[in-house]
Order: sequence, then C-alpha cells, then structure tokens
Amino acid sequence: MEELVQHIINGLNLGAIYALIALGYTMVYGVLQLINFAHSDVYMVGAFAAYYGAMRFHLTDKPGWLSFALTLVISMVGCSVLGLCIERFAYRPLRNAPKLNTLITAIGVSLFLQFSGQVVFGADPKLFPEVLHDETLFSFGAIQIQLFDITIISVAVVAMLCLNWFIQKTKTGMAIRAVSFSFRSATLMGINVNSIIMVTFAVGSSLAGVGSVLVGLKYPKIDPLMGTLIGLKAFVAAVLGGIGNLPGAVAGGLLMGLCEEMVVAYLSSTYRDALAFGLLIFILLFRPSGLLGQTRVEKV
Amino acid sequence: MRSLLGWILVAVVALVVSVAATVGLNPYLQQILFYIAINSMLACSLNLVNGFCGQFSLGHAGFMAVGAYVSALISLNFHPFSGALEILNFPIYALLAGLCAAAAGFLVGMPSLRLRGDYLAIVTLGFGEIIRVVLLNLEVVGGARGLYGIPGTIDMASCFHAFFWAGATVLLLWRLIHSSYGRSFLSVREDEIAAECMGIDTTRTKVMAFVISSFFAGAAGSIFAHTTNSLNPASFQFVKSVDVVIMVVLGGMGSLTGSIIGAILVTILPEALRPLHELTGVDLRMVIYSLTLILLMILRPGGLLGSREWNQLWRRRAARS
Amino acid sequence: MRLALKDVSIQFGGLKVIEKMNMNIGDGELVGLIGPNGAGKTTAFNLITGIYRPTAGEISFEGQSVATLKAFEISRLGVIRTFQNIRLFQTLSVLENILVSMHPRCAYGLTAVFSQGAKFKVVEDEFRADALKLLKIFKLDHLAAHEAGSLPYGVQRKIEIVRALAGQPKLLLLDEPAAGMNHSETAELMSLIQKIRQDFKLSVLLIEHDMKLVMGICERIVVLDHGMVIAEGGPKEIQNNPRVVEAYLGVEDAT
Repeated sequence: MEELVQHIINGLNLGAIYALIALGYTMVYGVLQLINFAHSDVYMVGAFAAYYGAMRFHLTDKPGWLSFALTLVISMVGCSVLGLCIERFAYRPLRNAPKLNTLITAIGVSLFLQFSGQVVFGADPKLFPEVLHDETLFSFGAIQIQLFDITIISVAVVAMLCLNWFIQKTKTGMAIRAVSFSFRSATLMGINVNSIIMVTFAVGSSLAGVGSVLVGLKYPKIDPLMGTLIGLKAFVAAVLGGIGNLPGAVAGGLLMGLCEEMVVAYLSSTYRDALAFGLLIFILLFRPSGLLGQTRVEKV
Repeated sequence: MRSLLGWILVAVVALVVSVAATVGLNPYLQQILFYIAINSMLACSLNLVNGFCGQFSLGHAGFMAVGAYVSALISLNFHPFSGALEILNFPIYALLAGLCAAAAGFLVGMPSLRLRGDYLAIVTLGFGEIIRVVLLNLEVVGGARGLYGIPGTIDMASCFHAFFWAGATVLLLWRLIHSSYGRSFLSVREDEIAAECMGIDTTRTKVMAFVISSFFAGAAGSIFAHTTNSLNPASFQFVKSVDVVIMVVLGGMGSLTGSIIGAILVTILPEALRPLHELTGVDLRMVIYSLTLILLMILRPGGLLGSREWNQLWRRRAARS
Repeated sequence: MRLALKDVSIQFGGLKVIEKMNMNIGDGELVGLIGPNGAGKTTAFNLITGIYRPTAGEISFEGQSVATLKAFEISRLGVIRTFQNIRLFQTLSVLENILVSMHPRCAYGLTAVFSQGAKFKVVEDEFRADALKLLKIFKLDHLAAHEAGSLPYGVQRKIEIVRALAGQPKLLLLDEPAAGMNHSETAELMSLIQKIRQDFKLSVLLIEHDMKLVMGICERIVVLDHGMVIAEGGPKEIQNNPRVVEAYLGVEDAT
C-alpha cells in the first residue's frame, strides 16, 4: 500500500512535468494547427541555458531558493527567445503554405537544434547545476517525500495556475482562445494575429523552460538529445488529452506520468518507452480527438 | 515490344554502370555507388506516397528495415543456388524482402491511411519506431548487437544486381504513374473529396501506393543488407526516414527524376563534407541537412525539379499527357 | 424512380440543417432545387452523394438504399456531382481531370500496367478518345493539355461538368453551374444541359440561383427554405407561390 502511494507521488511528479511540456505543444497546435516538432529541442536548449547561465552567474556557489528562481528565469527567457526566433524565421514565412510544408520545416528545425546542439555544446552529457539541495522532508514508513518532489509539483502547479489565469482572465488570453477557435474571424475582429502567435510561442516555450529546470533538478544528466524522448511522451500526453485543449494537456500529462510509473513499477521497465508509441498509435487510430478534444468538420 | 524496350534499357544502363564501376572506381567509391542505387530506390518509392499520392509518411526506414532483416535472415539460412550460380540467390532474397515489406506496408497502411496529414505523419513515424524497437528486442535478429556475416560482396555482378533493381524501380513506378492508377493517386493528392465523388476508392488508392512503396523500400533494404554484410537497428532510426524525405523534397515531390537527383546529392554530400569533417573534427552533415530542409521549404518547396520529369526540364510546369 | 428521399433529416449538433425532406426524381427528369442562401441545398447534395449521412430518413437510388454506401460507391452507382466551389484537380491537365472519372471503369490491372501489355494500350487510347469526345461537346477539346487550375472560372465550371459526365452518371447533380456566367454563357449552358440530358439519357438535379435558367429548363422545381421543402411544382406554379416569394423576399409589413 505504501509502495503504491510512493508510486502515485512519483507518477504525479512525472506527470506534472509532462503536463508543462504538453501545454506548449497544445497551445501552438491550437493557434496554428501545427505539431511543433522543435518544442522538445527548445526544452533541451532551456536546460543548457540554465547550465551556462548558472556557471556564468556562479549560482552553484550559493544553492538555495534565490539561485533556483534565477535559474528558472534564465531558462524561461532562453526558451522564449528561441521559440520566438523559430516562429519568426521558420514558421511565419509558411503561414499560407500547405500545412505539410510547415510540418517538414518543424522537423528540420528540431533536427537542426539537436545536431547543432551536439556541435556547440558537445555530444557528451553534462551535469545540471546544483542550484538547490535535496532533502527528505517527510517519511511515512516506505514513503519518502523529497524536497525536490514538493518543489516540482508546486512549481508546476503554480505555472499552470498562472497560465490558466492568463488564458481565462486577460484580454491577450482571450485573444489566444479566439485565434485557436477561428484564425480568420480573429483577424476580422481586429486581433493582431502575429502578436498573438508570438505570445503563444513565448508562453509555451517558457513552460518548457520551467520543465527543463525541474527535470534538471531531479535527473541532472543533460545532453543535446535529451528532448526527444520526453518530448514524444509530452506530445502523446497532449494528444491523449485532446490536442489544442489546455486542460486536456494537463490531464493527459498527469495520466501519462501515472501510467508510465505504474508500467515501470508493476510490469517491466523495458516497456516504459514503448508505452508512449503504442499509446500514440492507439489514440490516433481509435480516438484522434483525444479525451477532451473536438473534431473539426470540413465544409464541402 | 514496347514493354521489352524499357527492360532492355534498364539492363543496359545497369551493365554499363557496373562495368565502369568495377574497372574505374576504387572499392570506397564503389560502395558509394551502391548507396546511390539503394537511396534512389528509397527516394522514388517514398515519392510515390508523399509526392504523387500526397500522403505524408515518416516511417519509410521501418519498411527498409523489414526488408533488410528478412533478406538477411533468409540468406543466412537458405541458399537455393550454390557455387557458381550463387549470385542468383540475391534477386530471390530481394523479391522476398520486398514482399514482406509490402505486407508490413499493408498492415500499417490499412488503419493509418484514413487519418489526415499531420496525424498520418505521426502514426507512420510511430510505426517506423515500433518496428525498430521490436527489432532491437528480438533475439533471433541479434537485438541491439545486430546481425553479422550476411552473405554478399561488392563486385560487378552485385553492382549489376543493385542497379538493375534501381532501374526496375524507376521503370515500374514510371509506368504506374502514367496509368489510370497513377492518375487516381494524383487525384487523391489534389482533392480527396472530389476524387471520392468521381468514384475513386481513396482508401484503397492510398493503401495501394503505400504497399507498392513499401515493396521497393524492402527490396532496397535487402540490397543494403547484402552490401554492408551486417545489420543493426540503429541504421533504421527516424533520422533515416528523414534522410529519405530530404532526398524527395530536394529533388521535387512528384518527380521521379528529381528523386534520383536528390538521392545522388544526399548520398554524395557526406563524402564531399569529409575533408571539412577531418579539418574541424565536427560532423556537420546533419546540421547542413536540416538547414537545407528548412531553407528548401521556405524558399523553394518544389525542390529542384518541382513535379517535372527529365523530358520537361525546359517547361515551367509538369505535364504528363 | 431514380432517386428517392424519404423524410430525410440531418442535424449538426443542435442545428437542424435539413428536416423531413421528401423528394423523388424519375428517369430523364430535369429538376431544379432552389431556395435562399443557407436553405440546405448543397447539404442535400452532400447527403445524396454520401458525404454526409442523414440522421434520419432514407435515401435510395434505383430502389437501392444508399445508407451504408461510401461516397465512391454511390458515385459508381451513377450519382455524380459538380461542386459549388470548384474542386477540379488543379495541377492536373484538363484531360487528366476527365480521365480520373473513368478510372472506376478501368479494365486493366497492375500487371498490365507494369508489363504495358496490349490491354493497357487499348484501354488508354479508348479513354483518351472518349474524353476528347466529351470535351468536344462543350467545345473545350483545344484545352485538353492545359493545366486545369490556370483556366478562367467559367471554363473550369464547364470542365467540372465534363468530368462528371465522364463517369457515365445516371443522375447528374449540378451545384450552381451558371455561377459567374453572363447572359449568353448562361443561355449556352442551358442548351448544353438539355442536350446532354437527352443524349446521355440522364436525370438532372440542379441547384441554381439564376431564375432564368431554372425557369427556362427545369420541368419541376423543389423549393427549400430553412431545411424544409416548402413548395414543389412546375415553373409557373412556383413563380406564383406566395410561400416561395416570402422565402426569397420576405413578407410585407402590415403597415
């Protein structure tokens, strides 16, 4: 029983991170109907931005909440800037092109980031800066609650609450919702669609940045290809919840995290990654709109 | 009579290339030539699905892998011909490999091809990866270690074989495109709903393109296996599928000639970059590829040839009839 | 009875687009389907051709229910349409567009394609000859090699009709064939439609806003408003039907 609780805690932690990254995928898909393949690599760059930033500002000399917060900021800013550049130079020129062209470009950007990352950062893994020390906070029998676990869940929840407030209660957030609903109508209503898309990319990418710092805390090995697997799982989470649907991304993320944890705990760890692919294919073949999504009907 | 002419042309070209290669090229360059043949088959077959039928498949490496491993396994256990006639085994292996890959194409295509654009791309990507992961975990094919000691040599006969297959691929796909079936592929690409309303069974059409495409990918895989004499699932990652996509996009989606040119360019590029690699110690091949892909899509999505073939290079647009 | 719609309804979410529609089209009839914008005319076409499935009611063609048939199967039965927003195969040539419709009749298989056998040549030549013959009727044969998407709007509309004819339909559905045409072009189209109806022994159902064309060639007219049939009859009856006038022009104020 206690083991189960531990697994649930672990699963929720993992799921919270998947949710953060999934939100980025879903937001971009909502406004552009584009699967942003490069999102997972923006996440990776966030981790490296934090790495170099922490070194530059000597944040590891004084581990603690301030250093952690600064690392978060550095990663978020780095990711946002990168996300904005990608949108501006790779996707915007293709705004009116067939969707498939943009998809191919997204794949190109993703691979470009991965391989130039290997060239620039070096292919060998590096250690994420220790900007916070881990401690065991509570212990109930076999259940151990680490500081990192609490941090991850709290930061993720705060980020999601902020996003929710932003989307539901601000004018820009409403504009984003309008653009996801109907691109054309939004333009006709006087919304500057280019700015809205830029904001969407910036916000989505910074969430990935938050995710990369949280992951870096708990799994400090970082390398230029680290985004691929987690990006895939987060993408599956987004599709599971209904791509384009924000609460769906969160639900999907948490579900993915829990499922993965249970599969590793009770089935076998070799199948942990196959779960993602299998789930993806299953969803796309049998219920492409996901749990909470809606299908779009083509007008004839 | 006209039918035979095409085959004679293919045989002659294959003969000329193999003789010239054996006589004039060193083993290193000979192997590059083999890769050109293999990549041409891969690019032309993928173009059938992506370029002519308008369905975006990202799992081509998976079908190549199926063909490669099937061919390797069969060749390690069965030798219908031996001694001097041993060379005749290889066409049989390639044929069987192609058929198995085609079957895989059918299994993947049937459920997937009713999905639209980006979803189809993701599902085919997923299937390609699943095939690779299955091979990685299958002990009978060596798992992560891979298969070794696969029969096959690089000599004039095998070169003729490889280029005959490459030529056959182009010939058969050309004939397919210039037929009513080819037109049904194009109609699905242009407007699926209109095609349905004109009586085209769009699902069957897409599956047909997919299965034929997978057949040639599998045959290419077979030739690959018997050229490199060893196989490893790492050769069939998503990056390999992207390689083929780059060949097709670079050459021009909807142009068989373009696919051949794209295959040649993409095969030669790493070799051309080798001096740079040696100089800087850094492998820039994939960086250049991905950048090329991005720039192509933004600046010249039609690729080098658009949808024109070799006999239309002076025109601005394609015309098949 | 070629086409029979019995109490056909379709609903998208809460929106009832077509409600209890009844319509019959007999052999060789030329029927017009009219109504104000948004009445559901194109939706009716989509239902008949199998693009949408009705939420209630039955549609049958030549006595056979089409409820479980896919769109391409319905097309092969002989129900072929044109589209309100032109859906030609843009980058294909005019001839290729026509040839696509003939594919269901293709008598050769893949073996013949790969071996380029005699059957392949014979069928291809036959198809080409038939296609050019059809284009000649509409005086478009000189455009056979042109890229379809590069041609003027009015010409593209006519090509769509030829493409539909190439499928050897028994019921031809024309969705606003005269859209964007001037008087003389419309008059030419009117005689063309009557000619093909006669020569090919078709039934024709057409959607049109051009009343001159509708009243000029349709033997019977069905009027749709807000998804329901509000009137049916010959041209004179429809013109004098107050409900029809109301649907198009509204009701005069009591004051």
